[in-house]
Amino acid sequence: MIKGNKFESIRRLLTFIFLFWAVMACALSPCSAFASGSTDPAVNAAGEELATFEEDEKATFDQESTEKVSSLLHAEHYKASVYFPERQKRSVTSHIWMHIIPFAALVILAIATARFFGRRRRKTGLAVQSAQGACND
Amino acid sequence: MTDSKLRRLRLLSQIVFFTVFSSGILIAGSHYWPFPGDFFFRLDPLVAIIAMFTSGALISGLIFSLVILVLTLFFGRFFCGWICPLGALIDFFEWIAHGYHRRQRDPNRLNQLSLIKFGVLILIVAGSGFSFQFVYFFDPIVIMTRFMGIILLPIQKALFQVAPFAVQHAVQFLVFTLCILLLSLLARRFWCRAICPLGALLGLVARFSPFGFVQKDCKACPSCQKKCRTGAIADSKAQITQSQECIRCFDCLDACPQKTRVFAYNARPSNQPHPSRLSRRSFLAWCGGGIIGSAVIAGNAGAVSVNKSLLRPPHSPDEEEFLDLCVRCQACVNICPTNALQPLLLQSGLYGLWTPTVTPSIGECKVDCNKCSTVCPTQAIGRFDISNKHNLKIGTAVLSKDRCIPYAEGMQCGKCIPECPTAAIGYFEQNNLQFPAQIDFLLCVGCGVCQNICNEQTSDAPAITVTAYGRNTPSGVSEDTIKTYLEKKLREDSGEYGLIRK
Repeated sequence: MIKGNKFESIRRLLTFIFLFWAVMACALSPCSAFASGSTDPAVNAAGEELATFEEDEKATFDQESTEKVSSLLHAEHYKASVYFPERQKRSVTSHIWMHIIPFAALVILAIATARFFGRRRRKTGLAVQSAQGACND
Repeated sequence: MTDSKLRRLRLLSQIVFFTVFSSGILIAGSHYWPFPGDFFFRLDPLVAIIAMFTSGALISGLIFSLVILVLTLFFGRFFCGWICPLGALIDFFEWIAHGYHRRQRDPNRLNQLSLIKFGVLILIVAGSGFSFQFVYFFDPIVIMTRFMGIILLPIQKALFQVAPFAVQHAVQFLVFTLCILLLSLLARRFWCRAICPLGALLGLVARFSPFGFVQKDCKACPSCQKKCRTGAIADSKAQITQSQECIRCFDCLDACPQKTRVFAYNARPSNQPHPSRLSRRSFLAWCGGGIIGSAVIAGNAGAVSVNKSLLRPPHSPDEEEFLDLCVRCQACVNICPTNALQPLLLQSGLYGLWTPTVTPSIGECKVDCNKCSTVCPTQAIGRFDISNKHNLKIGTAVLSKDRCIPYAEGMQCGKCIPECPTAAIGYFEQNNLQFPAQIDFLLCVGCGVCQNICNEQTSDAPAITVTAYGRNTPSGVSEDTIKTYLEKKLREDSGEYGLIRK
């Protein structure tokens, strides 16, 4: 990289080193997308052993829960459904005829990139030459 | 306008567009700067065409990009040289590594590889015919959105001291882009001349551009040929500049020692070579590759995408349509304020690679947020208003009592109950303990607040997990419920209750 105009080369090299340092500093900072643990869910550090859960207790709880299911919050907040289908209407709608267009585009690409439907000139030329040769003979 | 002024103007254009692109990522979704987050996608005709082909839907926001095709018809591939942010980044990288290219004997030795980009274009179009799109691997705007997001957003979040930016698999996006930059060591603008399908598409149109280069009294020196970034001047003696390869950088004007080369109207060479010269066999091979690849990967996807535990962003369509529309640009992942949206790896098969999923263990989907819908370029996440969000069900939470702290440990917890924005968690009280009893299917919208809270409380797997069950089904939440919740949160945050949650 350093050859010829050394001042220019060193300037560019220093720019590269500065930018590389900046990118790596961003990438490795605690706020970064790559910082270890940045994507790990927060967990309880206590690490206590979980208590066992008896089947009898489960039955008791189930019975009680059916009796006392709460519902303070429900009573306060529950309302009838306000769902309106038009609110979830898709803003884009698929059309079956649109699925034909890619194949039409392929045909256009065949013409544009490969002269797919044209005559094969080289072989045609060779054929003409051989035909002329045959006539001469 | 002199040659050097043209070059400076191009440099200025690249800097301006690159700055606008970078700023767009930073300020997307901001109330103060109403800049459309998908602005550059609206200039990208490849994404527009392939997304519409694959989904069979007319996407209104992307139709504007066809204007670029019309402009290309007149002015050639100016988009690649003047606007494209990836092109600007590659130019910058080459500016740093300038001495490397100078030492190369023949800068155009890899010109034959320019055929590959037409093959890639055929591959992508053939795949889209079978409802399989992999434009996300090759489109420059998609690549740059992914790359700049993971570079810029951590800086922004660190400076403004907001929640840290966390993206899983971000290193893949970084390595992918760095590989593209390193390819430039093979030849200048190697990506643009050999691989970029957007360049191929624009090149096919640019072939009919009436503008071109004229040279009088040419001494047939190789100066312009050596200076050309994309190998558009394949033969300096023939004085032909291939319009389909030329990105209108105007370096050749400055390079000409006689200064006799000019850019002029009605200067298209009559003996311009065919844009790609692909053989029929090559065309069929690329086409077949696209179709067979689509079939194989779609088969693989079909086997895996039945994964019902995958949570997609709100107002996204059914899984198959979502995979057709999503271009994996990560714009939604970048903008998500809680990092709830994360890119998948292979949980949904190859077909679902890098598609966004809601990950409640990392963050919840806030009930008063619609940012992801504002930046999605292809409407894989449909636009919606915040006031309608409570109707958009992502999934349903499921309670496992054997892992729930009050049941399993006999200790007070119940933190999920008041946090649920729709009051979907029914509970009962016993011995001064709150026991979550059941989750109301109609009220639960799958936002994941409960799972997020639960995850913080337990060292094991959370007792409440959100599944995709019931996705896009009617919800029974009223607007008043959300209003009550938001008012309560506001009071909490202002310290009225002294319960500010960290």
